[in-house]
Amino acid sequence: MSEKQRTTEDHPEQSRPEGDTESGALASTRAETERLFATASKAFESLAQTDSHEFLRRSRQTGGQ
Amino acid sequence: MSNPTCVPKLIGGDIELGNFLLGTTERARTSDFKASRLLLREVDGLPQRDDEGSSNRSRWVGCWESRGDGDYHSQDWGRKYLPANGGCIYIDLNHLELATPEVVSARDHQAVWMAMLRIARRAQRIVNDALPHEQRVVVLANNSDRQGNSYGAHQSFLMSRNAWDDMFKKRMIPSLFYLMAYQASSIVFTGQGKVGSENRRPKASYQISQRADFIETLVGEQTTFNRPIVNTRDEPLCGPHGRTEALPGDRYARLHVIFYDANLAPVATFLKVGVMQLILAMIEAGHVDDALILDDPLAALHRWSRDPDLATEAALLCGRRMTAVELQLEFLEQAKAFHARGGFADVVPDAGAILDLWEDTLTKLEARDFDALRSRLDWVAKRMLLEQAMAERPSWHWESPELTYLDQIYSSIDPADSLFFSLYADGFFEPIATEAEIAAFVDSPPENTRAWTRAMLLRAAGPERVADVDWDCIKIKWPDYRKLRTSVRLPDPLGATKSDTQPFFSEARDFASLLQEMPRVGIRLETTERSSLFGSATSLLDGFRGASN
Repeated sequence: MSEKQRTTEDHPEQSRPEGDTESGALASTRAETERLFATASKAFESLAQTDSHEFLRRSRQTGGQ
Repeated sequence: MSNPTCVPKLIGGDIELGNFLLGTTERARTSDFKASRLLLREVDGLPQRDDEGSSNRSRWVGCWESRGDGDYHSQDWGRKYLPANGGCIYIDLNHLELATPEVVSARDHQAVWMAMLRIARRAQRIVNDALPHEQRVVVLANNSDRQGNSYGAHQSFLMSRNAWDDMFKKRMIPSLFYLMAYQASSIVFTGQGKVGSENRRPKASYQISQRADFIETLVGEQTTFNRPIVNTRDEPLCGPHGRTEALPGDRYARLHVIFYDANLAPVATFLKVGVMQLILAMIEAGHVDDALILDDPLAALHRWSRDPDLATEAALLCGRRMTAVELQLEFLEQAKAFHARGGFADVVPDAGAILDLWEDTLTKLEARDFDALRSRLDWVAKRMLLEQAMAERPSWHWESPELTYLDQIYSSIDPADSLFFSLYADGFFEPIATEAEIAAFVDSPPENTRAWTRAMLLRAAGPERVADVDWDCIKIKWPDYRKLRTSVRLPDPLGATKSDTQPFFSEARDFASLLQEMPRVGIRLETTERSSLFGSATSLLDGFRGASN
């Protein structure tokens, strides 16, 4: 790879709630997923502003190749 | 050891985008028609026809047109070749279609594909800035509208004419079915992923491949219906063929692959074209193994696409049963052995890197280590995001319109709402090409194919001189001699490179003298006179003569 590869190790694990019995690796994965999801949440903001039914109706396409 | 039976595996792509207009009261059926034309109008390209971009006239370019090397009835409209990078953008059946300039390496293809998306995004930004506030054009790099309509992300690969004829006309088994088995199982790293099923296929929550529902037969020439796993379109785009083996059109063929999804993740894009380069080189050299042929490739494809947990097995003709990943691992072992014998030398750039990344990805797929693959593979990243969405909103399920919306918006090219580009901007996806390489292809053509000379000729000629353009020819019109057309032939996709023609561009005193230099590197010029009665070429003049700049 020509550029630095970002991995889950690049992001510190979020603190776990007390009493959480998850393994460290699993909790790390879950935290990373939630962080990524938050990063992608612009789509959710757009969803809040977009009528998904109208979007899907309008997104109908001519069949292509 | 280089392989004398193989030709370098040049790569091209012609990818249709989803496009439509939101916020309008116009009929939904006209939305993609209007959106695609608004977008194309903002693309800088040649030829610039008088009627292009006009709202009150339209013209079908190439409709029912015979190229002379196959009677294909192209459905494209408003084709513009890009002086910026030698690629091409046009409208195909109301989809903006991005055709990448020819490149030799998978790494360059990944870079130039992202560059083409940036060009489309620039057009989208201009369009949306000019639209009323409540309206916007949405552009999606995907392959279906989730309502039963598919559009293609086609790839092209250069092959030797001998290998192509063997595969489609002479000895179809095993090479054709070897390719079919490879393609069907390769969806495990080439799928973009989608919610649900279409085209009257059985229900599914989430599929690996967007295109699988629309693949309905094994082999065929058609691309808009009853789509095949392997497309037989024989259109080399290398000048005339069928005359003499001395011509590029008779040495080369182009495998037109309509099977794959559009990918955005760099690793998925790189592997999709890079591993295909390896497989085609092996087929060309006759290194195929009929033990890997599937008993029912279509059934295997459809079942594998519906199993994102990768446990489903399919039967091989030899009686064994394998998952898609297990079958891919067998292809990998054969490719590694071919590589060890030097089979990819001079044919597939970076073959070792392709093999290494393919192996590592398959190993992680075999272990179902999806956390390690979500930064590489679109279908894994999308699945992760959608499952997290459902975890956060328990009322949502796979059939919720919100899930279909998020599925679609994954591939939006607008970073304001795109799931992919949100993560991409955050550095989430494992890179292949550098940012500098991608940015360069927005404004510069590949240097080691004919795309370089095409782009430079378009720049030098300008809109007043360019009469028509195709991949293998540029027709020049002469303002002072209106009946004359000079065709600059670029039949060899591996020729007319920067090293061949750059001195001409830097040293020629004017455009006419620039053209006169071209035959020195084998670029043929044909000057014809257009008949005033019939509007077509009627007399072949002896080369370029008398036309001034």
